[in-house]
Amino acid sequence: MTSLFKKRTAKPAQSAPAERVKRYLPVLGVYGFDAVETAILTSLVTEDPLLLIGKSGTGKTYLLNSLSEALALEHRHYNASLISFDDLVGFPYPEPDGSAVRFLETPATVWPAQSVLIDEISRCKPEHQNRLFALIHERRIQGIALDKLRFRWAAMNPPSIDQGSSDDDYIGSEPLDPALADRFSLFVTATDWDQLDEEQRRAIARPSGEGRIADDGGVLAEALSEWRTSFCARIDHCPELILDYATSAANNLLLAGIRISPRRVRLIARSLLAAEIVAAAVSERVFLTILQCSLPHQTYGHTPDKAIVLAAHRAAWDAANSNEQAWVHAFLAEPRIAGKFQILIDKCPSPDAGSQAVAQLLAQERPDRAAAFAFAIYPAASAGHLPIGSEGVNDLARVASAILEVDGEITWAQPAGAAAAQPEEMTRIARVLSKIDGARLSRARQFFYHCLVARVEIKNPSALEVDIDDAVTLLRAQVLP
Amino acid sequence: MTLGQSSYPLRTNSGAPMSRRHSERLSSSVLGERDPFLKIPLVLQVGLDFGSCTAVRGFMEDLLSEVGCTEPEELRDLFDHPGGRLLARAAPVQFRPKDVRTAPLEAILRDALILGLATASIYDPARPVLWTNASLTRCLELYDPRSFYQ
Repeated sequence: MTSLFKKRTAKPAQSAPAERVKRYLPVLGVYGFDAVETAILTSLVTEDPLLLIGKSGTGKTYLLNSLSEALALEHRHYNASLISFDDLVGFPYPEPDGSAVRFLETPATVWPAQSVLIDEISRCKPEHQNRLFALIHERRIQGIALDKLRFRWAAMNPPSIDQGSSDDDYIGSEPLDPALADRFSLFVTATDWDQLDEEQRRAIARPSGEGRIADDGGVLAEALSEWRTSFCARIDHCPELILDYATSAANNLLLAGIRISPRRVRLIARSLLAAEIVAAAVSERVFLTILQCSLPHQTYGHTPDKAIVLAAHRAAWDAANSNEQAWVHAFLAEPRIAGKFQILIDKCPSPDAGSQAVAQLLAQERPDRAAAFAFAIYPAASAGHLPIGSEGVNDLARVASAILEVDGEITWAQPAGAAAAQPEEMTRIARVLSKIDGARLSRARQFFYHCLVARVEIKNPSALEVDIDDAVTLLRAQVLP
Repeated sequence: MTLGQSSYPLRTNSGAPMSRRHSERLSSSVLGERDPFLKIPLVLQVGLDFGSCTAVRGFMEDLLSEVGCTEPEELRDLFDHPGGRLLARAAPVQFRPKDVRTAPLEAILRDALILGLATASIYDPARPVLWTNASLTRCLELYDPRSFYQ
């Protein structure tokens, strides 16, 4: 316990660029989850199981059903207290030749589901809990893989502690088996009326909210697709800061008597990586939110002391950031090119360190983003306005020189009878270029022409153009004061 | 479904391929004056043609002694050279480097000074003048990159 509190003043926490403040849930008609929205979105990115805990009527089920609507998922909503096994798998029937047993599917069976909500999971019979265990942990039923299933969600009231002796005690809500609870990655507590602000209360009170289909025009689905791609790309190269934080937090919690399983530490690291992508920043607040939402203990009635969790977080955060290379991690993890430049300008201790960071970035970024980074920074770096040494400038030049002057040929196949006279990629780029002008247009056209000639796949031309322009705007102040 | 009833667009023996191959040339530059909005001005081109001479450094040191210098660093005081960092890149093939057999001594030494202050990608007057076979035999274009951010 002593060491837990000693580190609190060890080092100032590393600041980071502003977090993304865009909210996705209120657009879906879901209110009161602002403080934990990052955790909810994180669970969508990792596709690890999510458990909502809250009093009745706090919007747990509404939230999860709304997410399935917004993401256009084939969704199944089961009430665990009423569920029978046939509801999940359908009616078994033998093949005519007796060689196998098949299941007669109904609209409620789980086989085609992409998302499953198991409501009232704490009111479940023990034998069903065992079956749900495989569903939650392994995406399997009866040993058969549910190949389409992406999201596993559950909801429950707080477990009964004193057998209904108070209004806040749900007598039918049993503590979860710790082994089952440990299969969930994140635990989000729904906010009750007394914790909502006035604006949220009025939004919830609107009569039109009842029965409304959540539709944000695909905004969340599109964002989730981007985040998921980034998560999958980075999962094999988890930053040291995240590993340092996750292991240190587990160590500190253990010192304070709160056991964290090895599996849980890995789940925390996965969630931190995804949360960092969702929040678009390495942020102490996001790390704390994820740690608080990663503790399963409240599901079996052992809610940890908030002060202990906070102290464990601070110690882990300080330990993770005590590494002199922490700025490099922040630089590499930052998704916006302008954000990377800002970190480089503010944090890089020397031109040699800047050169190393640039080399790392060019080696591990997606080709279109690495090219955009080099294109935007190389002129400023070559003019000596950034803490990047000669080696780093040479590395940038290797990528950027080919972009500054393009001369090449693009070829494409046009199906017989097709009307289009341009490759699809060029059409996408033309749409982006048609909306900008002046020097910005010249820069964007130069970059995209290079990508076309060099066959660099551009995932999102519009977003990348904005990213480059933001970076140029930032560097303008450095280069042309 | 049989092949004859298929709606699949099979065009066998129709005399035309299933698709046509197109190609288009893309040429664009923000270096120099080609772009109407974004111009990264060319400051100068430098390069020396040593012909068949392989002892490039020794050759230059001989020229250095002709102007009474012992170190290439001393050339800074003798010749004008750009005072700020510049973007450097290989000069195009049509660039004609100065022939060391015929060009004026001052022109050769000035280019050698600038080449000694440059790498393949930057010109930096703050770095020491480094004469190596590689640096002296480069042909470079130097651009002022700041207008990229205009």
